[in-house]
Amino acid sequence: MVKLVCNRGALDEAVGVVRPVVAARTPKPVLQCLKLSAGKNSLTLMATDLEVTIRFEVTQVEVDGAGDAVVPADKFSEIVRVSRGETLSVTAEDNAVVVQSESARFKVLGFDPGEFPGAPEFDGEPDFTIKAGTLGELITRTLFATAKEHTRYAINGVLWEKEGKKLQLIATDGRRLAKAAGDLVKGGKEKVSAIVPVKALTAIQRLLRDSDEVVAVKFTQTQILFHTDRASVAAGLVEGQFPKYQDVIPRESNRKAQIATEDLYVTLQQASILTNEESKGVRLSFSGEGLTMSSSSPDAGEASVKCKVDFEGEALEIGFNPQYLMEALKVVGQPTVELDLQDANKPGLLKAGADFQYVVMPVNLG
Amino acid sequence: MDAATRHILHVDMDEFFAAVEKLDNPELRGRPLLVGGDPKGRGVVSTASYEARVFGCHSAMPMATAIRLCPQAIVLPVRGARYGQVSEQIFAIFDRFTPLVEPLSIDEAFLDLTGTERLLGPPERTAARIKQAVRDEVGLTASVGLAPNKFLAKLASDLQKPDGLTIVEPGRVAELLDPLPIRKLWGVGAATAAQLDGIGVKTIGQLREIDRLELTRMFGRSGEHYWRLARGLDDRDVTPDHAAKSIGQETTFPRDLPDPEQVAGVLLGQVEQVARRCRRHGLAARTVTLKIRYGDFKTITRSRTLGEPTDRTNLLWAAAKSLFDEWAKQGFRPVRLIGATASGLQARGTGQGSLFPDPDQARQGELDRAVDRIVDRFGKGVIGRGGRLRAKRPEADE
Repeated sequence: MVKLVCNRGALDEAVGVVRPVVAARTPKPVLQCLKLSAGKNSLTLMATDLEVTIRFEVTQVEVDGAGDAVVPADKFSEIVRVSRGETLSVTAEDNAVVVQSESARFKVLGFDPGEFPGAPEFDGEPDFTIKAGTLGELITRTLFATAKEHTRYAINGVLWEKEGKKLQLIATDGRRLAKAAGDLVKGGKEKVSAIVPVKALTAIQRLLRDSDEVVAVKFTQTQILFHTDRASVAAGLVEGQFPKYQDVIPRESNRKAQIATEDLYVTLQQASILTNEESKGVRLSFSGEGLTMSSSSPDAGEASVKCKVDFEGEALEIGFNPQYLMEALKVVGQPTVELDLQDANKPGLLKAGADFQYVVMPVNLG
Repeated sequence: MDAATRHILHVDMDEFFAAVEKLDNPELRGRPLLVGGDPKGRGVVSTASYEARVFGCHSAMPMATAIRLCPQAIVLPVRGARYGQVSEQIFAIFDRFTPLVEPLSIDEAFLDLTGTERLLGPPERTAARIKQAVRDEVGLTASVGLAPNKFLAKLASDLQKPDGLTIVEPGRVAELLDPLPIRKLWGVGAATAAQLDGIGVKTIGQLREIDRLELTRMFGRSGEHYWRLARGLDDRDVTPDHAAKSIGQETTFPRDLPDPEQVAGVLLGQVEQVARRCRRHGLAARTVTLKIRYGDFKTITRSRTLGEPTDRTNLLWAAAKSLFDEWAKQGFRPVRLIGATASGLQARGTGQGSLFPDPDQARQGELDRAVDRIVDRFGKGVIGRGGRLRAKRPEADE
């Protein structure tokens, strides 16, 4: 029978990590719960929506009785959040959980722990290990490029490709594509190619706290299993074909612009204020003299902004959705970027260092 | 009256399908003709020639009924291709007189002649010249109405059929409207007419006696609309497709349609047309709106915005159908009017480009173009999506 005392701050943090996985709408109320498992010297919190399962361990805990309890996530997290004092005591009574602080006592009705779905186990050797900091960067540099609205590219996931000691993540919404690569700590011989759902990636992201920590990843036919010392995520892979991304990354360009990341960002920000509601495009005019961005909206007005740029090639006017470029610039983590262009109707390629490539389709401004 | 008087012309071809048949085969002149579907099936009359109308035959009537009324009639199949050709000739003539041509159907259009006076002379003369050009170059007659607005122009073209030219002088609107039955008002159907009849209103003149507030009380916002129409007021613009903010089509049924499948069948036909008009003008639409009016004139609209603008029939239809299904699931009620509109229009090929060409959509695009070519050659009705073949096609006016 669960009986423990836990540091309130640590428990609050743990609840914050696992709770976003809880199913938002479901006919099964048990999926809107957290499972608490008291072990010898730890408390593990688990949440699942049957697609993604997350576990997170709290060590700042004294366990008097081991066992499992299942409690509605919303009530439990609110109690932990608004309680006072350093510690909370948690006990399970039948299918209810009693949370007690110095001044308050809550008895929350829950479910039989036997009803809570089990979690896939991480058996055997990982396919690879990687530093949490590297993986976090790969996810940040790609996740934003996944489809947000419902289009035919709503694959709702990021492609993971592992070969040798390299891992690269690729994401696209059909209009832009982000590709980021990073080094593994240990990589087995197996090649990997799998689409990981967005929800699993955000769950993993929340577990990447110490950038030097080495985390382990394993793929099965249908799942990704992610593992750290204190936490794990298991998730079903996205079925289906990832678009043939190699074909759309331009291999050559006849126009190259070197631009300070921050200058480009600020210029785009200014030019984006008065874009056309429908096309949302900004006109970028590159020439030996530099870069001028202009935008106009029949209803709102017009803008023209200059930006310093080192440009090689024939002058070119090309339209882009400024948001698409700005979102990429936020994650490049380099002081300068290179923008490779071919023509006004051909995709542009934004490069930052050797490990980040971002392809973006222009906007035809008519 | 508006500050500047507008000159709106409504052109309606006389017994169009039958007239083309007579044009191509002069022996048919003076004979009762029924152009339409197969009498053995569920075919309906598309056009009855004036000679057949004498016997009570009219369009949208089951062909079998029409033949019973007029057994000596010559029954001819619809030759859409030929009518399409002739229609294009006619619209090409319109384009010579004004760029503001709003097609209503294959044989009917609004032309805005406002501001053409300096170039073409008085609008009355221009109207006569357009009629003459259609007669000389195509060999067909049209009935036209010239008025300060669309409502009056359409009303006028109907007053002296066939081969009519009716001019509504701004000062004589009341004289024209007053004796007409209220059913002639745009938007007034059987239910409204019955309600008005209940308070002793049978003509537009009588309607004009009714207080504005009283009408709003009886009919809500439509009341205001009737009040304005009864005074001959209507400020809708003539909008050519390529300048339109939206492209839409609606159908009013002579009686409320109780069958969801029939309604969906009509909707599909409308979406096909709307998509085709988008493609003809090189436009892609981002938003699809469904409009439904019930027997009590309560009107609802439902819209869906797509991820990216499209001119593909299948994508526009998917959006319209899902709106329709959602509405029907919540509680289908018999439908008085159904309409489909595409909006958020932009020139095709402009806007955000796509990294991966969608092979399925490319195929759909080819399919759409092939269908367009067939429709151009053979007319609507010879080809359609499966859904429409299964759905029963009800009678519909407009």
